[in-house]
Amino acid sequence: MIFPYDITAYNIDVICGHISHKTGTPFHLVKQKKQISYLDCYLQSPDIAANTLIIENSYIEKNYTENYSEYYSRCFHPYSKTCSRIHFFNLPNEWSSEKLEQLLNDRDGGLLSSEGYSELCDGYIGFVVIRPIPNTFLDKICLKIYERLSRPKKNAVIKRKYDVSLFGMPLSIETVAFQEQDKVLSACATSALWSFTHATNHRMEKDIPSPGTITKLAKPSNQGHDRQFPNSGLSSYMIRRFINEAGLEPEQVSLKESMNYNSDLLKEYSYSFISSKIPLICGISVYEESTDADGRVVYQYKGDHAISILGYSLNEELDEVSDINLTAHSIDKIYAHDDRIGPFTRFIFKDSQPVTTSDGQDIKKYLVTEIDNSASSEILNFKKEVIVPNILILGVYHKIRINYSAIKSTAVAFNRMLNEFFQANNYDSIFNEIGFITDTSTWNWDISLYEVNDFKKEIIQSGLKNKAKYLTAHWPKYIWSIEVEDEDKKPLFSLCFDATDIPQGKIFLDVLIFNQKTATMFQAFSEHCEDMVSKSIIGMQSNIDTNFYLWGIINYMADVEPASYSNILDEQYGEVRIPRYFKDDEIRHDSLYFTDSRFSLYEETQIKLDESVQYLWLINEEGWLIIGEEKLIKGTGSKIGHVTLNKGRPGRIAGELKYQDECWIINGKSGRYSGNYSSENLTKYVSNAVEKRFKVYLKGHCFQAHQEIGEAG
Amino acid sequence: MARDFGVEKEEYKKALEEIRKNKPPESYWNGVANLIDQESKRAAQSVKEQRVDDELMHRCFSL
Repeated sequence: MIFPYDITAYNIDVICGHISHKTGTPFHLVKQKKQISYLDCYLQSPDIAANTLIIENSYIEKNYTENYSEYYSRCFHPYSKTCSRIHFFNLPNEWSSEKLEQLLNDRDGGLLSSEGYSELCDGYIGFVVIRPIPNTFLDKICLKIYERLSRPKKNAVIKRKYDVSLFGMPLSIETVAFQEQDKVLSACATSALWSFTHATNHRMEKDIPSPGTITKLAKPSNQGHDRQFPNSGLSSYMIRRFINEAGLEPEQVSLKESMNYNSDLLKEYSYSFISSKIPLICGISVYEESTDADGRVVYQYKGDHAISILGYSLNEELDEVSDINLTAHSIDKIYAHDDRIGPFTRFIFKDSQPVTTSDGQDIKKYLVTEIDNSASSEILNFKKEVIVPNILILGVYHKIRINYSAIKSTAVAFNRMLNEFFQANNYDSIFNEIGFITDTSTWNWDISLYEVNDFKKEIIQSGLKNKAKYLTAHWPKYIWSIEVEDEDKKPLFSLCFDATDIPQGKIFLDVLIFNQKTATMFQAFSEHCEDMVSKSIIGMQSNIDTNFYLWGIINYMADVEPASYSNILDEQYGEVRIPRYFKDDEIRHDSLYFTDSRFSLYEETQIKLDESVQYLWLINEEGWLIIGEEKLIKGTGSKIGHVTLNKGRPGRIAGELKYQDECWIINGKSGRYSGNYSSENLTKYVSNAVEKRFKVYLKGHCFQAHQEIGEAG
Repeated sequence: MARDFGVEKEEYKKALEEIRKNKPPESYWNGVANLIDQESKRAAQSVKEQRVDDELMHRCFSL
């Protein structure tokens, strides 16, 4: 019987030997396999530096078990149902079986607090599951992500946490799982979808379907007449069907431009969605290097393939672009799970060295893969390839209804409109004089999709002035943001759009402004928009344009929405707030004491106030003026408060009313209601109450605001 | 009524006054109308270009 595990120094030949034995694949075929070469390079790269491996000789892998029950168990050949799992570590000291057993045999229950366990946790790199079938044996692979990909601002990569149990010892790794197609239950597209599902992170790991289930959910193709297994690939239609079955909304974008592709679009989508932790499936055409009859290097079309894009890295320099300087355009590499190669394969953008295909066509723009081969270049068996992406497929949460294209078009149009505005009557020189740089070609535009919680976290960390207004704002679950920075990368403003609205809805939410110079520009621009809205030369047709949302910005700036009555009351008497506290005497037998000597005024009245009485007053939610005598609560020594006047309900400004020197003096003293407002607002609200309520509803009286309006608190 | 962006500094208020005094000529607004029209058409074109054609829709990813 084989020993349950092996522990040894990292050695690719040991790994190949184990795989060959476990799967029945000849040793040389294992060693020459592209993915094995890639894994060796990955594990030996300076960022990872694996030096120890532990092999679990018997391991049950959920995906393979499902595939086994679906297919392999019914084959004539008795395939095993048990996998093996190889764990990789970077450990400071050499480990032996004896040392591991000593750790596992700890009788004091101190294993999980031991130095040895801590060493294993710190040095854990991840694992590779080997399924017991020949040639296509790489099942689930979870490996630590390159350190260089963890640098914020320059890179972004999607990851999730995987909990691992090694002989009962909990370990964890942050990555996205990868697996090779088995060419039976899955082809490349299924493997890409499997990794994509792991990366979308909207499901618990245990609920992620196996490759066989993914293929079945993507079917039927060709009206159900195609053979299901062995699977020969998925079309974009089938990929979208699975995404839909998985509970996400599929979207697709063509990148095709004759023999080339739209590299800007690929960069833009990668940037906007990966920074929002949304992976992309990319359909690519692969061309392999060969020579023609005349000995010239040509690229032979090999086929179409699918990969899942999970990360990108940015270059310092921006590419030259025609419209706006999008940060996305400075992407120089994308990272994808390519099941022909391995996890986090690096794809580099090339556009300066055209290549020729075997049928004589030029490919000017393409991607090439780059592999760290410093460690074991002698076993690399990679033929040179160029890759032409042709389609992007996304799976988004169903509430994300507004697409990237409309937001990008809005940014481009807004930039043009600002330029037009700056040049009208030389406004640019006025702005430049106060230090606001109007040369928008020096600005950086950053289009990202945010979940509202992440967006608010960004606001917390920003240098925005009135953060509380935005942090307490009631916003939708997803927000598109166009963030604009100056050439020194200092934020100028962010335009926020509701990503969950219907396309013809009121998409534009707000603009966040990061400094006073930019606020000055927006003040002038909003007045400009007001003029524009009033001009009849601009037809209203554009107002319902769903391809971009420039009109939403213009209408917001011009503030064309008529203010609601509630908004006017908020502005004049303060927003509605709950009372800050109740006194014990105001609660009788669990009921709120309610004064009977009160009157509510909402129009002019003949009521005459009793000059010998002191009153309390309050503006309620509906804007009514409530006045009541400030008398003792029956059976107590306490006077009634504003709470009893308003039945305990939320209200606006409140205060006292006293007759003095032939005039009623009104203040804003109410610990329950007025304490919520700043002293500046308190003065404004009391003055409004005097002018627009007391003097209007109670004509024939003399009213004036007290010099000391009130006290907050 | 235009939005109020809370400009406080005197220097900036003066700049705003200067802009308010120099309204663009009527002809300027025709240019803005054209610009919006052009951008609207360009946005529609961009949506069209990104649409996946039948050939791509049924291409099989199988490598």
